[in-house]
Amino acid sequence: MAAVAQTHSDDDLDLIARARGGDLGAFNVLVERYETPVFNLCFRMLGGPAAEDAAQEAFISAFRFLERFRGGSFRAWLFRIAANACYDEMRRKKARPAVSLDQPRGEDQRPFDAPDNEPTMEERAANTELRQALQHALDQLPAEQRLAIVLCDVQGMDYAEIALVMDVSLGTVKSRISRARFRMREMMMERRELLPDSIRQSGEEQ
Amino acid sequence: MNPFAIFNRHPASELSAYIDGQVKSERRATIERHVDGCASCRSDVAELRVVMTTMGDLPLAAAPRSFALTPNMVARPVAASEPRSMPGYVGMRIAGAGVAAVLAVVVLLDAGGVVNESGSGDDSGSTALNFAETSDDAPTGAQLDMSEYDEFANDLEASASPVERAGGAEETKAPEPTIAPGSAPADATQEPAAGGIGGALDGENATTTPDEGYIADAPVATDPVLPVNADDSDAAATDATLDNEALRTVAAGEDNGISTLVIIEIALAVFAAAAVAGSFVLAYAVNRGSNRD
Repeated sequence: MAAVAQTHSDDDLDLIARARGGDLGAFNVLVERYETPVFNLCFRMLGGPAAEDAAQEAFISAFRFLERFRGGSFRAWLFRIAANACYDEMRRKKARPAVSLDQPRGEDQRPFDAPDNEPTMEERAANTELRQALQHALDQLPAEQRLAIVLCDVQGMDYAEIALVMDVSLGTVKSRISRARFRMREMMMERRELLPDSIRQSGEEQ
Repeated sequence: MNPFAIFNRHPASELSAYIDGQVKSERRATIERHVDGCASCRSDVAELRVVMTTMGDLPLAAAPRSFALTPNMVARPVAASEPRSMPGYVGMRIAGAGVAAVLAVVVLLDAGGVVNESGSGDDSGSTALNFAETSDDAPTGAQLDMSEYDEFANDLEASASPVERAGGAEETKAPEPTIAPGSAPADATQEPAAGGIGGALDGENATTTPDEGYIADAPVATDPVLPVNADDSDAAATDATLDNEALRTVAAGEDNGISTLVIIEIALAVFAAAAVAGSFVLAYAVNRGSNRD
């Protein structure tokens, strides 16, 4: 998906220019192009239905503040807006915890249209459990570490682009990703039985 | 086993970047040597790789719906953000303007009364002037009253702060020179009048304070309940002068000329109080409404 987004970058600029002129249709081409990565970023950050609101809010803000985009990676700029929308959503959630308590965590999980090739029943169940465990582990991370590891390992961004999204130095990006991975490791090793055999072996053989 | 590994600190914090190839080449070689000879770091690297692989294998969720913008979405936040902050200010401005206007009328009537009455004869001089005379007779009493007024006015002014924020207080203070041409006792008529804004906020005190401003020459006016009876001007005059012999004759002499003014002023004060209270309630309600969004 990272590759897909990057091949569009030239075309992006043309669409951005038109959108700046008020062409909502041109902007919606960009929305269509980026809505999956943006939604997934929000989903991993928020782990629930709030992701939908955050993603929508991000695109609305992006359109309104399009004037402020000064070239470079549109994806990084857009992700930064999306990350901010997620932070807003987290603050809102913290301010009104009763709202989120209404829904038990497990049911927050949206059913994925997983590109698994005809998984068996057991595999599917194990996958679901693993994904829930991963999301739960992600939820335990401090927000900026979660953002770093999601951008790096889920969205496949390189450090330089992550530094743009997070507006921090490369060193900070490195340390946030490192801390997030070590914490995720601890939590994953506690649920080692959920990992697929192939991965478990690769972790143990060395 | 690399013998140097023992002497090297475990480069734990660098392993993550090392795996990603984000470590400079000289440092990279050092880490590589260490990892080769260190079982603990080797297992760290392996497990970090598991994290990366597992996270990378997470499937992308399809967007649950289209996030395409409609013209409505783009118009909404801009339109919504303006009224969100406006009603509060508008309410306060209306309150401030209303109070200022009403007080301006009160002050003008007062000033008119001063001019008319001072022109009409020696005995029927303005109340302010009369007070100045009586305070000569009883300086101690006047002093005491002044301090009481000051306290009262201070209390009221403290509660008047919301109006001051709205800018109402500045305007109401402006007409001061028209009433008080310098004499210290005359200032006593000022302070309760200024306090009247604060009193209006409370609602209960509201009807009484402007009278106090007007009949400040009567020491009893510090009791906020008394002037309510001022509809009956005789009763008011009597009450007001009960404590002060010197004032009784003066106040009695003023009765006919003052009564209409007093009534008009009370009516205006009640109106002002209602306007202020109403607009505050309105502003509060609107703010609550907009916060809920």
